[in-house]
Parts: sequence; structure tokens; C-alpha cells
Amino acid sequence: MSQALQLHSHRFKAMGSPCELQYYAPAETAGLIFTTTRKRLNQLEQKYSRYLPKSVTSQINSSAGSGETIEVDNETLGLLHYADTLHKQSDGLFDITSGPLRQAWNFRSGKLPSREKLDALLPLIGWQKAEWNPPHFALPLRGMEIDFGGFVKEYAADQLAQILTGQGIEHGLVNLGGDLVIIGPHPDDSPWQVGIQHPRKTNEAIVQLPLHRGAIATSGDYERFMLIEGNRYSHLLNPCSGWPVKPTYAAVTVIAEQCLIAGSFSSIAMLKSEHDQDWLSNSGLAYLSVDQKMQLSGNIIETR
Amino acid sequence: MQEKKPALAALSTAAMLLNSLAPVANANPPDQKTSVDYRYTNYKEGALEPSKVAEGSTERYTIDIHQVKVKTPVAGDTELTFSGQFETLSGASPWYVLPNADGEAVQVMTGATIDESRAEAGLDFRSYNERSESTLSVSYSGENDYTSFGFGYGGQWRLNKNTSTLSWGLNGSKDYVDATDAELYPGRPTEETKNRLGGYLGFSQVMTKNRLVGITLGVSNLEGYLSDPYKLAWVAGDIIQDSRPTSQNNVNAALRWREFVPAANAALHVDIGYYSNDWEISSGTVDLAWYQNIASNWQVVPSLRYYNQSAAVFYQPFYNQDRADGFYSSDYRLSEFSAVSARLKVARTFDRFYLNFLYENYSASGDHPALLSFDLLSLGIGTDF
Repeated sequence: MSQALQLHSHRFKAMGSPCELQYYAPAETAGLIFTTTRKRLNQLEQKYSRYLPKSVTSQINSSAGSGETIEVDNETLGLLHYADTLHKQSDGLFDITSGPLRQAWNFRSGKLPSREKLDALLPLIGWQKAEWNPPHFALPLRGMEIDFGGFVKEYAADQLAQILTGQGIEHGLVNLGGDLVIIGPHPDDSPWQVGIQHPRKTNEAIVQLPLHRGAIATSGDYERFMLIEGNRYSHLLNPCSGWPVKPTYAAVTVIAEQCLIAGSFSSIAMLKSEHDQDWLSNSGLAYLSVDQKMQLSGNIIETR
Repeated sequence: MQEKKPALAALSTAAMLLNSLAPVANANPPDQKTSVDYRYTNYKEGALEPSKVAEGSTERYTIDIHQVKVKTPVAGDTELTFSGQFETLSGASPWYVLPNADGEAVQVMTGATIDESRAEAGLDFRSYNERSESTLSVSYSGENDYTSFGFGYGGQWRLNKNTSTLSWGLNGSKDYVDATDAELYPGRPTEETKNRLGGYLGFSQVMTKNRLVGITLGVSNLEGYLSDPYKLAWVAGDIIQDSRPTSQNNVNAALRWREFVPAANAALHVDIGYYSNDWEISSGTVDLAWYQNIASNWQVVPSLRYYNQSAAVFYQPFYNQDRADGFYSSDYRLSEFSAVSARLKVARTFDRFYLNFLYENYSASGDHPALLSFDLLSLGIGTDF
């Protein structure tokens, strides 16, 4: 038997990030709602984490170059198809096979990789090299890797929001490491206050956005980076050159109906901004960008 | 709706395809956890006033109760719950009432204090669907003079985005009564049976984010040996066996109101019950409980219940003359009385387990010399994994 609605907050760590679920629900159903969403999140993590040897990602990666093809399930098929679309729409900049570059770029070392190291890795990069004959997928060269990490967290946030909605939740939010879906406002119709990370000041918001519903995601040059001789080298790598892009923006925040869309546009906008600063403003989505001088612009705030 | 730009259209289409390929999430599945709960309860009935006892001990029952519950998932959408209970009972019980020299009712207690035990076991099989669920239950209870087999089937439908719930259930039991020492006390029943069949319908509605109301209506019918095998009645100087009708029809209604008070982080639970049967016993209950949450892991629940019932049509503390219908019972439970019960529950949840403590004080008032009072202490502990 259900009871009157109360606010339930759950904070936990998943997919390598601090996560948060907040929703209003009758007290007696809350435990079950939480375990259902948590179960789905675990399932996605087990299935797509590149750190877990039994994951689909690891199966594909460990069979790279073996001549073996992996038959993937429908959900993975959907993710691969989405990755393909990301690759096309970003003109090759968003590439889920960029992972091997991590071997060259150690952002804690304070050292740039050697030319030889990068030259050795670059042949292993390239989505166009993947052999894809749905539902069969294979990576042709030993050492090639795929990684859904660039968008699976956003997808998971959408999935959890869908579960909560299916449970009758109308007021609440899902926050997976800053990838947010607002299911609906507080029961009194007041919005949730979403703090946007300041790109240069840890744990400080550069702006608060009141949101009633929708998804919001941010991509920035501050997540993993190193400063060498005044130059910022971030984790946003160009898969063709193997070098970090030099984004015009320090961070881009996008609001969309789905977190997956918001995350994809913020990521591509960061990758593209070096050469195409109008791509985001032409996207048709609500966004907020922070340039390297920490100036805010975009179509969701009044410029002061 | 504004026209979608190419990148947005392409990625939205891919996202839509991905969502259509994602596994459908079951809206209300079992939590897939195994849980184990244990509860110990000490129930102690208050001693009777010596002035109201004509003969026998004034000390009444003390019962120690151990309860275990184990719940385990069977498949993705079903779970099994086993519950077991074992209790040991000792003390004297009210036997019959007679008039003293002033014509006032005084109680005769059973002579020997008894030591008995009772074991109970139940199995629930629960099955979920997105919009409904149902539970099939079987149970057994046994003591040396009484055996009971029960079944139940109930369920609920969730409607209007889970804001409305329609619940229903059917249950029944078959009991076998075989009184001890029947050879010493002629008239005590052997090989008697009792059948019970009942059903209920309930509806609850979430009215606002903070309010839920519900109503449940139930009926039941009992047939067979409904007397108390160990009670007697004083009829114009004779002591005869407790003797009640062999059928009873019951109706009951319950209203439920839950109000969450955000400012206090607490909830008020109000329950009002009405019960009536064709022995002309009718009763009303009002139960108020305040569920106070403290931080995220403490809960304190004080509650108060008031109960009032009318007497059965054939009840008298003692009988100065025979009744035409042949029904006699001086059981205090069939008399007119009111009762107040005060309870306090304190619960604490930890990461891996929970603990709770319950205290209840109950006391009844009315004309019968052996009306009940008791204190109950209970400690529960549980975990899931």
C-alpha cells in the first residue's frame, strides 16, 4: 500500500562518478524504486565498462585482431549505431576507437608524448576501420579498442529517468556525475537549481540554472588536463592527429530533451570549436558556453 | 515545433533507435535480494486484582515469541517468503465467572498454570507484473490441542500512474480442535472443526503529494465449533461448558488517511475501523500514529489506539436462569468494554541491517472481572544481501 509523497535522496558512486537520485514518491515504494534503478545502472556498468573483463566492451576489445567477430545484442547494436552517427556528425572527431591514445597521454606526468609513441598508436585509431555487419562487430587490428565511456553515462541517465517515470514519478532528477535528467519540478512546481561547474575553480559553480524538466550535460577542458609552458593540453583528443584539440571554449553546457543528445552536443561542440565556432549556435539547442576568459555566452542566459 | 537541424535530426534519430532497442525495464520487479528478519517479543498479561478473583492464581499468561522471516527471489518477477514462529506460553487463564455474596461477578481462574508451545509456518509466493501483483499464501499452525491450515490469495492493481491502487483478497482456514484432558473434564470438545472463509476489497488513492486515503471492506464467515474449549459458564448454580452459535458472519470497514508533513519530516497516520457480526458484537477503533523521521536513518513512532465494543447478544458474566437458545458464554472477549493502547516504536537503519524496538501498553475497562491488560516488548533485527 502506498503512502503520501516524500522526497527521497540517494547518493552513491557508479560509472566512476558521484551519482544522485532525488524523487518524490510514497515512502513504501521508494525502496523498490531505488533498487530497480540501481539494478539497471549496475547492469549497464557491468555490460559496458572497459575495466570489467566480462563486459561487452572488453569482449570486443580482447578479440581485436583475432579474426573473431562478436555477435552483439540489440542494445549494443543501438549504441554502436549511435557511435557511428556521432562519428559522422562530428566529422570524425568523436571517435569511440580513440582509446589507445590514453597509452601516450598521461595527464599526470606533466610530459608530452613522444612523436614515435603517437605514430605507433595512430594506425590503431579509426572508427571507419571497424568491421561492422550487424549484428556482428569486429576490430581488425590487435590493440584496437572501443570505449562507450564518452556517452554511456548520458544514455544511462536517460534510462534511469525512464524507469522512474514508468514508476509514476513526476517530480525528481537523475544526476550521474553531472549528466542530469530532470523528470519534473518539485511538487510545488519550483525548479531544480542546477549548478554549472566553474571550468577553473574546483567545486564552484559558475552559474546556477533553474530547470523544470529536461536534460543537461556539460563538457569541459578541465576534466583531465596538464599545463605545460602555459599551454593547456586536455583529454579532448583529435583522433586524426593524436593531439588535444584547442577548444575556443573552456566548457559547453547543452540542454535537450535527452541527456544523450545534450552530452553529444556538448562534446562535439568542444571538439569542433577550434575550427567551427558556429556549429553549436546552429544546432537548434539551448546552450551555454564559457570561453577561455570565463565569459559566458549562449542562448539560455541574458548577457550582462 | 521548430525544424530540427541536420546534426540534431541525425543524432535524435539514432537516439530514438537506441531507446527502442534498450531492454524494457520492468516497472515493479522484486528487488532480487534475499532478506532475513528475526523478531523476539515478550508479551505479559497484567495480574488481576485479588478482589475480583474468587479462586486460582491472579497471574495470567506470559508468552515468549520468536519469529523468523526469509525472503528470496525465485525469478526476475517472483519471490518466495518463508515465515516461522515459535512461542512458549505459561500462566493461568480465566475459567469461569460466578456471583459472590454481594451478587458481584468474580473470576475463577484455571487451577494449574499451564506450559504450552505453539509453532507456526507460512509460505508466500508473490508474483509481479508492471501494473499488478498477486500473492498466494499457505500456512500451518500447531499446538497440542489445536491445528490450523490456512490459505490466502490476494493482489492489487495499480492504476492512474500508480496513484490509485485496487486491492483484493480471499482467505480461508480449517481448524481442528482437540482439547486436552477431555477425559477429566466431561464436555470438553474432541475432534471438533472450524471453517473460516473471508474476502476483502480495498481502494487507495494518492490525493496530493502529501496525502493518501484508502478504504477497505471485508466480510467473513465462520462455521463449526466457535466456543472456547477451556471456558465454562455459571448458570443458576450449575457450571456448564462455554457454548456459542456454530456460525458467525462478520463485516468490517477500515478508513485510512496518511498525511505527510514536510515541515516536520513526519507523517500522520489515522486509521478508523468498524466491525460488526451477527452475534451483535460491533466495535469501533481509532488509531493515531505519528511517524517522525530523524535524519535519514532514525524513525520514532508514538501511537495511540482507542477501541470500544458491544457485548454478544448471549453474553452474561453469569446466568441466573437458563437461556431459551442454549447459548452461554462469560468470556471477557464477548463482553462490552473499551480499551486504550499506547505504543512507541524506535527504528534505526544501518548500511547493511536495521534494528527496531517496540513497546506497547494495553488496558481494557468494563464490567467483566478479568478484562485484559498487557505489556509487550519487542525487538526486531533484519538484513538483506
